[in-house]
Amino acid sequence: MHKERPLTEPRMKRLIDRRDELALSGQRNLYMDSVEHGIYQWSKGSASFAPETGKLAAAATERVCLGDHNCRVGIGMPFPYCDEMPSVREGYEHAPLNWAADYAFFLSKLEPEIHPGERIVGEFHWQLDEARAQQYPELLDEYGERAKGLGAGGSCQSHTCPDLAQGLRRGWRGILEKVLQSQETWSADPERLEYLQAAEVSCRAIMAYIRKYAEKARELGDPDLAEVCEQVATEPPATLREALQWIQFYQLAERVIAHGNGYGRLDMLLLPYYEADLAAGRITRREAIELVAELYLKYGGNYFSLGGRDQTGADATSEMSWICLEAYDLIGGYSCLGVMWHPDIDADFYQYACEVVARHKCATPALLNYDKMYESEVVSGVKPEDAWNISYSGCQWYCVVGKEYCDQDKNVIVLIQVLLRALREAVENPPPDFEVFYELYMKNVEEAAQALLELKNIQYHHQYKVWPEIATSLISEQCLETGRDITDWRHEGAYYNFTSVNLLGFTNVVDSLLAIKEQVYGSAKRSLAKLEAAVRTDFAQAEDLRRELLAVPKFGSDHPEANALAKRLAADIAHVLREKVNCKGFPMRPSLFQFMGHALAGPYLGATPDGRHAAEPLAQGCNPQHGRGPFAITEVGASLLALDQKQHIGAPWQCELDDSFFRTCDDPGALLEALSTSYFESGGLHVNFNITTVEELEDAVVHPEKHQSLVVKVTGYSAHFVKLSSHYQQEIIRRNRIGT
Amino acid sequence: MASASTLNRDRPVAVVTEIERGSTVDGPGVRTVVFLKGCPLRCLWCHNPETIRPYPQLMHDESLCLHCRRCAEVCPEEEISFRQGEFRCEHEKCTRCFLCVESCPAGALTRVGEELSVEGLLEMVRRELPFIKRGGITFSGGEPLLQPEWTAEAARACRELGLHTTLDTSLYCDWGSLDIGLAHYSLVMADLKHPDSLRHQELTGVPNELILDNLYRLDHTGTPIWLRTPLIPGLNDDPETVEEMLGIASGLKHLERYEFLPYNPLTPEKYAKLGVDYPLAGHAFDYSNREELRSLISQSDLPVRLIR
Repeated sequence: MHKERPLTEPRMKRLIDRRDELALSGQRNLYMDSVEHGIYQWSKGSASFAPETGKLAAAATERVCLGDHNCRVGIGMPFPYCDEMPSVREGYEHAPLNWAADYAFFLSKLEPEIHPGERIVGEFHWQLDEARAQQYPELLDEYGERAKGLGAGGSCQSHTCPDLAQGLRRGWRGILEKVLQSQETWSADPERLEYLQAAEVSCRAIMAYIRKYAEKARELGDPDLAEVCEQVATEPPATLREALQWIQFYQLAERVIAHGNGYGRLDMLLLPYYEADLAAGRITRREAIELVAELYLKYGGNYFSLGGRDQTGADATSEMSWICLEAYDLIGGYSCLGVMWHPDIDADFYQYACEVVARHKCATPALLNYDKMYESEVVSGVKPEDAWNISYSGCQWYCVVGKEYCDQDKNVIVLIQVLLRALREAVENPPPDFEVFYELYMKNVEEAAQALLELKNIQYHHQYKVWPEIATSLISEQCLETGRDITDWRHEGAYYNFTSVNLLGFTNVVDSLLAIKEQVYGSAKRSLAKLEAAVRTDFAQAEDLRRELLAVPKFGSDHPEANALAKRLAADIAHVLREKVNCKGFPMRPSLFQFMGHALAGPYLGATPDGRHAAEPLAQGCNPQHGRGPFAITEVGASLLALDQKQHIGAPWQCELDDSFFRTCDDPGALLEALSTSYFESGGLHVNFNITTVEELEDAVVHPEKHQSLVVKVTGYSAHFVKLSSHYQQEIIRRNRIGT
Repeated sequence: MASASTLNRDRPVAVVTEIERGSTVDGPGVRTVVFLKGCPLRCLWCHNPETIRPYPQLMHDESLCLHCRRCAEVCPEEEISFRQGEFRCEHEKCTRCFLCVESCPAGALTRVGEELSVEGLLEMVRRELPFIKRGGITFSGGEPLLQPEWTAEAARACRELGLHTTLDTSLYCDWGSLDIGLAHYSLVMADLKHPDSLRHQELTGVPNELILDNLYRLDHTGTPIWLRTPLIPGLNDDPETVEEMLGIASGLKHLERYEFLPYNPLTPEKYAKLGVDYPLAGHAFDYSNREELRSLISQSDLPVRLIR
């Protein structure tokens, strides 16, 4: 069996130390503009996460820190050439070529950085949104505000997977040639031609950017590195090291525009290079592990997946899967790998994956059920011949590599706000029974979904001009052939263009509906008006009522009624969303998770009829509400399994284990393997195992200096606990921990 | 009224304190644990006093109580009262009608102890099967062998479903109670609480000759055995006593594992809920010899585990 090896080599140790320094000094911090943005994933004038510097930077007092989850390495100063940006000097337009001119200028001003001992290089200090306004026309604000009023919001953030295999195969010269060819094809179509010119400008800028690294490496007296960079600046990579370096530069070129994507199936991408190196006697296994580890060290937040099945349905696990996972095991800490289980997966590999989770304790790798991901994509409408190539792509998401632009990550229906609205309407016009109340609630969900659809459609009509994703489009299916950006609403880029929608407060709504059913429409016969008033005043004069609401069965206890209601609600919301087709011709689809708002929305939106006080966080996704229970691990698991998980695009079980869970256990990895396998065999989609103790987390709040290496799964990502804003720290502390 | 003696040959039921799902500390892997109600021992340190009496009991949780007095209103014996606003129940006079539990709006009053048939258990087990098929089921207590036929039958039926079955027993029983189900237990977990019979009687209310006799006899049958000793400061945790217990264990051929468990003094709430006193209230818990014990235990050649 593979085991963690001690790190004896000082070079790797130095690189790990530097990674940790960047995280702990706050240089990797990711911010969002405001609490409001965290809930609605949209706020007036903000199209993305908060630019850290520049004209659109959020006030330090407003913004919320999501922890060390940024590719950008901050150096505490703004981009020095903001005033020289082409759009500043020559005029700003919402047009691809105008955007690309800025992008090219921006890249030209980024200095290459090579740190001592690095074999994989490349990092940056600013994102394009710090120098060029990422701003939609003001007219969209109206749609955003309207959606917000109804309990919805969204911006375009992605978490899709460009097809790195295509990029690695062509190399930048090949990609450029393809752009030029397509320009000839579309020479008579000014709009497509302009896009392809923008693509050409971007492509050449990326190549020039990479060449600067080659020059720098030569200056620093590292001819090997110089040669690697020179090669990947134009040619397809030929070795594992070149492939990794190609990937790192590609990620930089893409991340620098301030979007977050996944990068696909790393083991499958790298295997041919490793095999060629081995055959040529160019590499040892240990060297391969260290090289892959270096890729992770450059930016641990890149979402890669391992395992799964190949095109024939056979297990895709290979020697490279082991190497990629051993690379993480070597360095530990902050990383966002996912392992895709299926019944035919190499059993030793999956056992090892669970050992790694148990060893590093921060839900890395995330464990996913490949077959269920596949099914859920097919339910969405993906063709089986495409669906095989799915990859975990961040947080709870997954997508078909290179063929899907699914606008994931940041669209939301704030289900508890919708419930509070329905409750107020019900007080005005009391429904005679629970079924009518439920219909009233679903009517409000439908209105929120419609408002979201309208907001998304208008965003889509502008997105490809405001902030095209050219680097992504360069290696995604069809875009270059059609001369359309992957974000283009005319749907000539990616094959699949779903709008994925996070559901915030799902469990709170299940618990609240059941409380209303029992307390208002059951034998207690409480008045809706009294309940509404109690909730509105945060139970100030109604503690007894609150206790009675708390005594109603809760989701997570595997109570048959709670399970049935959860299943019904999830299915009904899925139905409402799938009926709404976006302007690209694709339905919206639900995800039982929202990665930022649950820790923020409580005080903002107030108490709920499940007995939750305003100050308490919301439940995370479809997990039990904090402080309920205690529930046994199999009660929670069985509750989640009551949901038809293929109906959703993502439904992670955030399973918080106390150290004591393993108190008498000789092999924690085997226990996690048994649990996750049981869960997957019964229809589960995704499980994140965090292993912590409340004492440790509480001490880390008071004495952060003593817990610098404490990494936890925050929501859809792992990060250093001490770098999180207190919203997230407190939310994590309050989670239901399972132990003895 | 239910009691342990209501064993019906046609449809045997047991009185069960609780069924715990997803346990990882009562035998190998993820397990369902059936806590049968009733125990012949009276261990001073008992963590689960609600498992001692063989019949259903009333429990009251002051922290959830709304003091609404609905329970007092429905009690036919008028044994529930609120003096100075505090809930009082004459537990000894309770006729266990549990009308008060039904009346409680906040879940502060609960009934502990339900009748369960083997078929009822199997229904739950079948639903839980995906999670426990790699672990198993444990029959614990109380003392499961106070209801020997039921336990044996339940274990047999669970084995038929392919489950690993563990019996967690004090071994304070006649050999027949154990023997009747022995073919159906994949593993037997038993406690060593004190090697000296007189001291054993002081601490647990019963002498240990029968227990040790059953232990050796059990070993003779070839059944895999796990031993457990809760280390209670000042009562059974001096090095000589621990060494003697290790000595007993070393005489067993089929010992797979010997766990030494830590003991944390209880907050008296669980006893208060039942309206009884915690025997170790006021006991001085001195953990100063833990390092010494650690080194003593870890030097043993036996498959020992010192649980944190």
